[in-house]
Amino acid sequence: MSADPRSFRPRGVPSPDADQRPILIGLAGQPNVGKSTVFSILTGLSQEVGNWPGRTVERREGNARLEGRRFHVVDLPGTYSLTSNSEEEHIARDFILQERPDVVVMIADAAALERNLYLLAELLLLPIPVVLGVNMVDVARREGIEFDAHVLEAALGIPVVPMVASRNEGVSDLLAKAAAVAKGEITCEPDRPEIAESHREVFAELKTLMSAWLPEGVPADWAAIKLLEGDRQVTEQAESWLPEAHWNRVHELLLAHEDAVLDVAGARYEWIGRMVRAALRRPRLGQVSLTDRLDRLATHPAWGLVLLLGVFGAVFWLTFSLAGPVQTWLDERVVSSVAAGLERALSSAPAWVSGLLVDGVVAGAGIVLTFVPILLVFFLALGLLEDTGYQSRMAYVMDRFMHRIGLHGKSFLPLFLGFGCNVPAVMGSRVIESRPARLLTILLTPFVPCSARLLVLAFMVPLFFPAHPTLVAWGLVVGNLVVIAMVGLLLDRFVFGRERLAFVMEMPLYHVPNPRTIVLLALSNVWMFIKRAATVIVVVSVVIWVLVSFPGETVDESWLAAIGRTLEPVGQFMGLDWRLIVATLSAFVAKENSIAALGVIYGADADGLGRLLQAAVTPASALAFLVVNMLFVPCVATVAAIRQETGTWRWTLASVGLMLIVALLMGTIVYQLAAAAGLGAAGA
Amino acid sequence: MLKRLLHEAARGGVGSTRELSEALGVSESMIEAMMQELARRGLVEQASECRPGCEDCPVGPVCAGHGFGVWVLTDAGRRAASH
Repeated sequence: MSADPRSFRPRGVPSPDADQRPILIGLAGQPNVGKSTVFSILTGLSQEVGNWPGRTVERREGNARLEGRRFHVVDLPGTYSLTSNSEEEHIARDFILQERPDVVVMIADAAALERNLYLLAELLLLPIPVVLGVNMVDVARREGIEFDAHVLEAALGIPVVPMVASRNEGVSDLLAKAAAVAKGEITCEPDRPEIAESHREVFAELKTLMSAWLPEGVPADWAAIKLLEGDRQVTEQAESWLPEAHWNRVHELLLAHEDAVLDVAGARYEWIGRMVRAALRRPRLGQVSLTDRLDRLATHPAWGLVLLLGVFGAVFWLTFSLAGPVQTWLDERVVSSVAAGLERALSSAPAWVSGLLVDGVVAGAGIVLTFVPILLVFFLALGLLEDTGYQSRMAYVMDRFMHRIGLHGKSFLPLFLGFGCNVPAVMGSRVIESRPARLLTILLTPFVPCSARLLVLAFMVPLFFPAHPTLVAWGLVVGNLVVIAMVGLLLDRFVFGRERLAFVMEMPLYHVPNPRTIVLLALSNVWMFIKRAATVIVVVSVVIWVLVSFPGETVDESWLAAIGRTLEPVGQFMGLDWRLIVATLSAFVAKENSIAALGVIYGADADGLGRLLQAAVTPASALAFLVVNMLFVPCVATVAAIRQETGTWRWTLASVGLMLIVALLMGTIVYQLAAAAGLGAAGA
Repeated sequence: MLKRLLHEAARGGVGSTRELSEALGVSESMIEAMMQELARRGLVEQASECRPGCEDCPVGPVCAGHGFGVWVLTDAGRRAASH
């Protein structure tokens, strides 16, 4: 199926030797391989810029000179292939077929050779000699990739020139090789991709049917291949080129061999595999074997899960150990000082002004601001997991686990996104095409503890359980996962089908994390959180302060107490008084609000709040409160997303109702069990 | 090769590019290049791109969908794999 480039000569055009005309070079390559740099070095100030005839795509061409030889270089648009998928691909292949350069110089990225050689596989089908410039070998080397140009040259059967175009290394050599090929001083005998055995017969018949009818310059091999791989433009043109009887037979053959589309492209990848196997050494053996060794544990069905739970525990332990002392210092030295100073400054102001600013704004937002150390350590830990490459293993292990307990495979992505934020997670359910399956996944997604909920947990647990914060937080997260599994099992058993959707995850190599990246990521997230605290949380704090301060003299006589007391009959099953009920309700606006609400209701800073809570709330009630907060109705943004995705309030309310029932049920069970275990008294 | 990749990817559940590279006997870079080829042909698509709503999310940048690629078969990919 090959055309012989040595025998090719543009019709009616003498060879470059015959009339000393410039050698015409078509400069090809995929996007972002440094082709423009090579073009600029070759042509310098002689560049001319216009448009390709009848197109809006820019055409750049220019002249080059080397050892007395003249070249005319045309920069072809960057394309991944020469199939007629885009205007750029049309232009590149029309130029080669119609203007017929003396040689095509293709630039490839040494670090992405497998991807780049696909274009070469297509170029070699055309009757033009090709020279390959492998650019950015320095970058590839830094990534641990070494390639042997001689081996690749021997395998491909065309000249291969290693280059670093950004340093002008190898560009002259590339031009010299192009000149030698164009003048026939170097003979090219390229190895080309083969047609799959199952399609060889039809390929031969297509060639026979078309060979006498093709326009001048269109090779029959190439046209037959393009038809087999479903090239839209060639298919349309073939209908006009061929007599009706021939076209009908061609059409019949193509219908019978629809699967050839993937086989043709697949054969190119097999060819690429053969070409690079000997020529590429990648990546650093040590790094690969380290990743393999670590993955034997990290992606193991059982040990991977144990490691995952261990990592969760370590993140909480780090957060409490490192951030706890800083948080106490910040609370005592900054927030309390600001509150005291403000109170002194407002001593002559009306009591309600002082109360609003000190007990409303500072108590609410101040408590959230003492959050900053926790946030910082938490985000640093998450950034570390992401930057080392472990985060993708977490996803992988979680999904394996979900499949084992019978959860729907299609729920994986939304559920996993839910660990970041439930809003995009609900929207992520769009990947599920079946409406019932999508609706049920939406019901399940808000149970996933989002980062905001985990942060609230990280803040509240030490307030209630200063002696064992890591154990309690870890237990709550594991408990939350168990609840998801249970709800998922029930949904899967009674409503879901067992339809399975395939996901393929890229697993990056483990690598040493970049401290700068992690710190910047953590700082930007902390800053975003502070901005949020300055808006939504302050507003909610003020509203709660108003509700807690009026109309009576004491908190117990307030509007908020009245609202909370109406719900106390429900709360008593979980040991929750009206204060804890109201704090839970405030989380509906945003999960972080429950912290600020506790601060305003108890009228205390973070340190004082801890002492007050430990004195007023029994461990059993505290556990129930934390469980309910983990499972309570989704925040308002998630509810809005559910409404948007389901298109109906019925399913939105079903989601809210399901979470409410599960939260109350689990809160009651945990409280009753804890009380039975003797944790029902303050200080137990 | 692409057909084999598509069949392997369509088995259901989650697979990693590492597993696919072992199953097909090629490098992971090759698997990634082929996944991109399948994506150009509309047979798979990137499923982990940030969804609408992330802009306002305080934890958007560290959301679990960031930092690595997840490929999912499209309807056309599922049909092609089942043939």
